[in-house]
Amino acid sequence: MLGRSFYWDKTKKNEEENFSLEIGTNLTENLKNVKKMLEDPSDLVIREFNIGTANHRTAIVYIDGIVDSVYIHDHIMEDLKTASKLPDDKQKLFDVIRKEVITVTGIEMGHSLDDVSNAILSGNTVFYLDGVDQVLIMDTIGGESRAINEPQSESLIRGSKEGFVENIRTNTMLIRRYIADSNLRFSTYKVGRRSKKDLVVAYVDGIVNPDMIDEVKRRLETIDIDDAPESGYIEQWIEDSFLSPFPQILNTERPDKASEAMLQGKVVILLDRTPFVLIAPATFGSSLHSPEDYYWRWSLGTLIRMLRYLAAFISVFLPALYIALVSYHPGLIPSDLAFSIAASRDEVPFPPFVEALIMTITMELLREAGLRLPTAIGQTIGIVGGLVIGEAAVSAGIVSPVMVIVVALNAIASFALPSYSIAISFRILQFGLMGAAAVFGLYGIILSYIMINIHIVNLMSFGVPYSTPFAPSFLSDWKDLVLRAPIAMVKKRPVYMQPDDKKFMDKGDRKQ
Amino acid sequence: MNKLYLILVCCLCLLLAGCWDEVNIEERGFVIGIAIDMAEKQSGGNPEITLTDQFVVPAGLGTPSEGGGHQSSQKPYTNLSLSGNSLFEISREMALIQGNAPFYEHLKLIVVSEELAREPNIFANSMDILLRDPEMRRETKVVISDQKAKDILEIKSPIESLPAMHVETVNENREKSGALIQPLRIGNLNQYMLEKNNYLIPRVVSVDGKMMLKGAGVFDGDTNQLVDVIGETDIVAINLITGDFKGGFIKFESNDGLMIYEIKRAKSNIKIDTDEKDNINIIIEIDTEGNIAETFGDRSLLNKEYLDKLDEEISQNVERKTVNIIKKAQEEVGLDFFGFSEIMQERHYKEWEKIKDNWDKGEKIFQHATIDVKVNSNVRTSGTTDQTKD
Amino acid sequence: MKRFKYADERISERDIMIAIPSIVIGVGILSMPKQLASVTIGADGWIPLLIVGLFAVFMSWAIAKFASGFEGQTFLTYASKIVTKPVAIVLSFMFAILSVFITAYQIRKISNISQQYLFDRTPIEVIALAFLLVVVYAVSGSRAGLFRINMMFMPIIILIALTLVIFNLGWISIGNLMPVFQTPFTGYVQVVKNTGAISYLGFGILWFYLSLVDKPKKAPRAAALGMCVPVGLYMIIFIMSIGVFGNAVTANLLYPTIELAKVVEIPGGFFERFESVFFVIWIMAIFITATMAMDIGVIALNSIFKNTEKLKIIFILTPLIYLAGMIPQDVVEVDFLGAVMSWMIIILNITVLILLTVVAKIRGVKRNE
Repeated sequence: MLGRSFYWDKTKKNEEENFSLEIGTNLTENLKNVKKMLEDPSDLVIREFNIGTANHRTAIVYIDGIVDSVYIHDHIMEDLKTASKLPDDKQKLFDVIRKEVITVTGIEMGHSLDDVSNAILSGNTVFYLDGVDQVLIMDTIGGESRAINEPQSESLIRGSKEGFVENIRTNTMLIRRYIADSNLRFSTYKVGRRSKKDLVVAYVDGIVNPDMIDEVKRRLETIDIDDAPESGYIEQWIEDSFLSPFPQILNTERPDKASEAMLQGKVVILLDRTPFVLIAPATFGSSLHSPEDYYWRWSLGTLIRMLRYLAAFISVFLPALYIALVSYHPGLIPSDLAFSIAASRDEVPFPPFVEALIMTITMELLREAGLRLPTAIGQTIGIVGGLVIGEAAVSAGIVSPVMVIVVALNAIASFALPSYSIAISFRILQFGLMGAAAVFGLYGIILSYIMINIHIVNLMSFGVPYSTPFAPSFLSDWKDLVLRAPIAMVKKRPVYMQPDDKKFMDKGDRKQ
Repeated sequence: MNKLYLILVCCLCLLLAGCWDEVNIEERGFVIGIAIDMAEKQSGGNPEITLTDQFVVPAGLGTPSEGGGHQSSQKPYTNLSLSGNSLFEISREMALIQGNAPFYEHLKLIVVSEELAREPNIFANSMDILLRDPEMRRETKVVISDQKAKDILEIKSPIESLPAMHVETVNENREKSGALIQPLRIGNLNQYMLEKNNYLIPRVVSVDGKMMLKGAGVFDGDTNQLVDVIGETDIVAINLITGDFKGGFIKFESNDGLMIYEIKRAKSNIKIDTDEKDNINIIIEIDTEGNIAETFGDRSLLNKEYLDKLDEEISQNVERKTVNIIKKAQEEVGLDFFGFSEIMQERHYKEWEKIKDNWDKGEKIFQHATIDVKVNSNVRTSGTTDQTKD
Repeated sequence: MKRFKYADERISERDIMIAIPSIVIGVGILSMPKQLASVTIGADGWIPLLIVGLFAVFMSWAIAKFASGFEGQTFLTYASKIVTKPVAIVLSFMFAILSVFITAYQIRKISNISQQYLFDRTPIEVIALAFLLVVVYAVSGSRAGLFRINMMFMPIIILIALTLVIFNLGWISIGNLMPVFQTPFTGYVQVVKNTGAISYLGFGILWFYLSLVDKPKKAPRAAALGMCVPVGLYMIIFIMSIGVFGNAVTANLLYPTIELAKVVEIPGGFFERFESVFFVIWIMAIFITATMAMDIGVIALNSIFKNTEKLKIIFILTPLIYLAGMIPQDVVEVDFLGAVMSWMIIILNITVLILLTVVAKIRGVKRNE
């Protein structure tokens, strides 16, 4: 039940090293075997002691640092030391210890060296009793972990300040606190041939479409990889099209966003050691939503949403439009503006495409540089880059002031998007569009736009078309798409998810 | 997968070969206004035309980054004149001289000299390229000028940095003056030329080195030739007759001195009785509403009888003015430039089909038509005060 | 891979309702007012437009009604049952050829207009190639994807058309619309002969797409409703352009609908020239027309050559379409191609409808109920 066994060829190693994979009755032999298997690492703790009147030899084995040592002391050592009236028969003693003495809540029996090593490597403590060929595996997972903080990548003005952390138990706990439903399901998987990380698929049974769950599980079971250090690995393994620039699975650090998605009939995938959980499936519409849309009153929510669609448009099209208008269709620009752009470009030696390329690449560099540096310096870089380079580039005649505005607006718009992964997709598309605009002007832009649309309608995320609910269209889902209708009016869960339980609420009427 | 590569390869080919039409904005010669004159030297054969393009010099306009009040020493425009038979040919020649090829998408104004407009056919011919070329827009305004059109483009405007923009700015004052006719868009000119209706084109004159819109030229829709020029007082009357009145005033002498009646609203209703082919009866009813804007008299205006009397005086005044211009049209000009022909074509199509060749040509039915004007003017208020002196 | 039921390759009657205006509204509308105005007086052109439109609505209904009787069967299957296999193959083949020509015509036309309004020196061949490649990209995707594209583009197209209408309202002079009912009867005949057909071609898609519809019983009504959209739109655009330009100018402008956009002045001066924006967005309308036409060609050929891969057919068709589009030398030849083609399409559709209905009656071919 603890997943796959070790990958390397144990029998071979076994022959060379000459140790048994079985747990024998001899404690010394057993402990030697454990040491041999793990090559006696420095953090391996083996504590031997005698208990009972008959001075039975026992030992507990764990790896320091990933266990809760206070807990071990309080609930294992203390209990064993202070236990009285222990039977003399070894097998009986073992049962009494298991059933009566030890007060650790999670306790299981182990029968092989594999069980032992898997257990201690994931933070459990193993109890040996001399003369018994079984061990007790006690859940003492602990050690240092980050406290629950405000999510860095998705901070909101209004809304919970809790974010997911690296510890998967904490994360499942957070979700439980949001959805105290008896139908909340956590299916656990082990991922990684070597890393053996816990992966939890969370969903609400009775809401989610069973086909969706089957599909998610089927794909997760195909994962065969040494290690999945972050949920990005999972995302890339199970997504539909690796050629698409669009994220087909969303990620979030926010438990409220994750639980909201589950109530819409989506599936949430948590991976140990990363605060980023995955939400599947994703649609184009949902990647532009933010939980805060729902927290403010509907009018504001709707306006913010529309603003975000505008931001999406700007972040994809603005530099391309600039290139097309300036080098192909100056007739489209209002006369006065056209003259002032012409004047400001008088000393710029590059065509608009090159100009735009220089500036957007600079922008990307600044963004990247700002990320790498500590927060304090990062801000400085932003200011230095934005103001100084922009100003200097204009006065040096490398770019025109209008170009600086265009690029700045473009960057701001892309930061305004709620999901970093969709913002990245738009940044990639933006370069393609710039190229198209440089070759064909507006004609190129519209052809690219059409191509993007063709791609989107053909793209699927776990069997859900990416373009839904625009097309295939579900009019009742449009209440919560570009608009955000008043809460009481959105009675149905998204139809495009084909949920088992169709409605959020029975009556839309508010209680007076 | 294969199809993807194919598309990628094709796109790359396009990138390598593309950019036929790429012209950077600073390399375009923005033409904001053009002037068309007869050339000084005529060499027989096809008449020679002088085309003057007003190119914008963006640097001369001063960029915002150089500070708001900064006036560049450079002139914001250059005018370039060349002569030739074809406007297209001239325009291409200009590219060789100017360096930046002329770009007409921002063209705002076309000035045609009266000298050229009076010649047969040349006016219509020179408008051809301005309508045919896809770079041209249908919004460009057309005016005529009493002198050399190219000189008009040299007149500095006190508020606009580009002379060609001046006409646009002045036209915004139509509501105040009434002596401006509706600016003629080249799209409408196209309509008149195709429908063979007579039309008016606003006229630009230079007074003391300043550009001014004054009066209009009457064009014969058949030959597209300038026939006559009418003054600004007549324009008020024409606007009242056609009902295209955006605001203006009537100056009249009442018993108590000079008074100004500002017309706020005017409406006209034209009825045409086409029963008798030889004696067409046209009844024009004009209703105006307005207020006394200025008076040199000292009588109280808030007097029902006095106001009625003023109404009467104003009506007569307006009637006189309109009858005058109609008489002028019938007797002096001999052309119907009020659009009666269009009304007949629209409402009395069958009768119109019979007389259309003899309206203001041939038998000249228009000249013998009976045209009655009924004016009903109303003074609504006297402004903020009754009397300013006693 | 598992899909949700709605995401499979089936389509709903709503998709049919949108597909009809999607294929009908294309390049025709750009020059339609000119062709009508040149043979009618005043704004009388709306009458033939309406009459032919109603005929098109009836045709769409009739074809959909007939085809819906054979649920889930492709055109070739039920036509073979009725008029024997060889005849059915010939008919399918004719549809395929005509579809290729529609695509070619649309592509050629768009390249001509683009060159006029957006480019200057860029060769037509390149403009057309770029467009064709995008069309091919769309056709090689899923068929349901095409319907989704329609669904996404149609609102934008209707919206831009309405914008055009609303911003032109101020320029309308009622006088231009007069006189009414003065066109002699021969004028109307002329209209039908010249133009009536071009504007409404496209209901032929119903022969092929109805086999994909989930509930074909509802399809006839949806198809007829869908056809009403272009009828309404055409009449509005026609009356607008007569109202704004007058009959004489409309008759002389090559693309009155685009010129209408030239008149528009967006308040606030955001765009100086609306016609480029309008035309660029209209490219989407032309794109879906071309795409669906090509897809019909692919379906028709695919039903004949069952064992050939769809992609292979597309790769064979693409150069053919390109060549067909590049054959006409000038504007007049392109329009001639359009006229000939649309008449052939009308005749083919009517013939097929009558032939199949009558033969089915005579031979007593059962529809699956």
